[in-house]
Amino acid sequence: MVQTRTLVWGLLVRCCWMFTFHQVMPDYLDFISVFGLQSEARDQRFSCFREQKALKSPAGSNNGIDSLGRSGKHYQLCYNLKGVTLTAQDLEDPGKNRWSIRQAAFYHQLDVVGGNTLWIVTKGGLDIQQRFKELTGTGARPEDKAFETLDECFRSSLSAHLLFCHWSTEDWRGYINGWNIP
Amino acid sequence: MAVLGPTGKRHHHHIYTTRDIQNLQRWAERVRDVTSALKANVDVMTSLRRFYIDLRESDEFPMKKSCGDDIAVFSSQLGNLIDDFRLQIDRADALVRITTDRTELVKQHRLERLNSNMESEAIIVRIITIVTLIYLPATFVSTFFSTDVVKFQGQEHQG
Repeated sequence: MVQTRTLVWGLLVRCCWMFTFHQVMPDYLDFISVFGLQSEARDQRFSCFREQKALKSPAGSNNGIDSLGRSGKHYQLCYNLKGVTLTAQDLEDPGKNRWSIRQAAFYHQLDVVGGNTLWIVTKGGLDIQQRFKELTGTGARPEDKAFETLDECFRSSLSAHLLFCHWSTEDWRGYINGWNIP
Repeated sequence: MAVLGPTGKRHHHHIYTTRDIQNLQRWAERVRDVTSALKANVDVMTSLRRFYIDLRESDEFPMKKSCGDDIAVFSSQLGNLIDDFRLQIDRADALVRITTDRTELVKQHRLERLNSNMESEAIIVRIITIVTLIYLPATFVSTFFSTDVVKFQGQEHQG
């Protein structure tokens, strides 16, 4: 128990350090707090979209750090989506398949001058990471993995958004079809 | 079964218990959970689309001209996804409605059974009443004549 607590504390400290370094908007902490070991789904209803734009150059002070590729002009957004996954399949009787509603929280930041993008995705399991790797991997479309110019960066960020939205739409149909009301 | 199954006395029919109502209730709750999750997704996607459309309108956004078309394509694709979700929500709503109707029907079936039980009991009670009423005058007469109010004189003469 003590070990777990130290581990969790260490993870939290590391996360906080990472969020501070990347100047992640504080609202994202709300999104992460939903995750954790849950015997029953609590906070399943939490769903939100937050945005923050800083597109004008700030008067007086310069927030940018050039050495890190930050111009100070950026926008950031975070949201969460819910998808459904098959946890146990019953081949003989599809009505007995077990499904579970899973959440994923996304954070995205794009520097509108340098084109730096930052993604932080929180999700139990690795399926989204796998898909994102496929999106930007060797077999991907060239426009999805091009980060040479500002426009290309922006376009690839749009296709990443679409990928996440597609993930959340996927299995709902199968889930609803599988219901046969007694 | 609840809708199409026979309900007559001689037919084989399912006897509904509270368990069935519980099951149906659980189904309805599960469907409602799904509807709320789907609605949340639709809200988030709508916000996401609005954010990018606003970005296209905003003057400070440097890629306003070069990426305007990309944003249009993106928003139309998001719109498709949102429509897809709406369709699923409609289906889930229809399911909720069906489930509530079924629950009502099962409750009706249970009431019906209770009524028919009470009916047969009432018949038995009526038979008992009639039998008792037939014997009531005879009982009364025999009780009345066994009291001291009436005395038979002839009996003493003989004795």
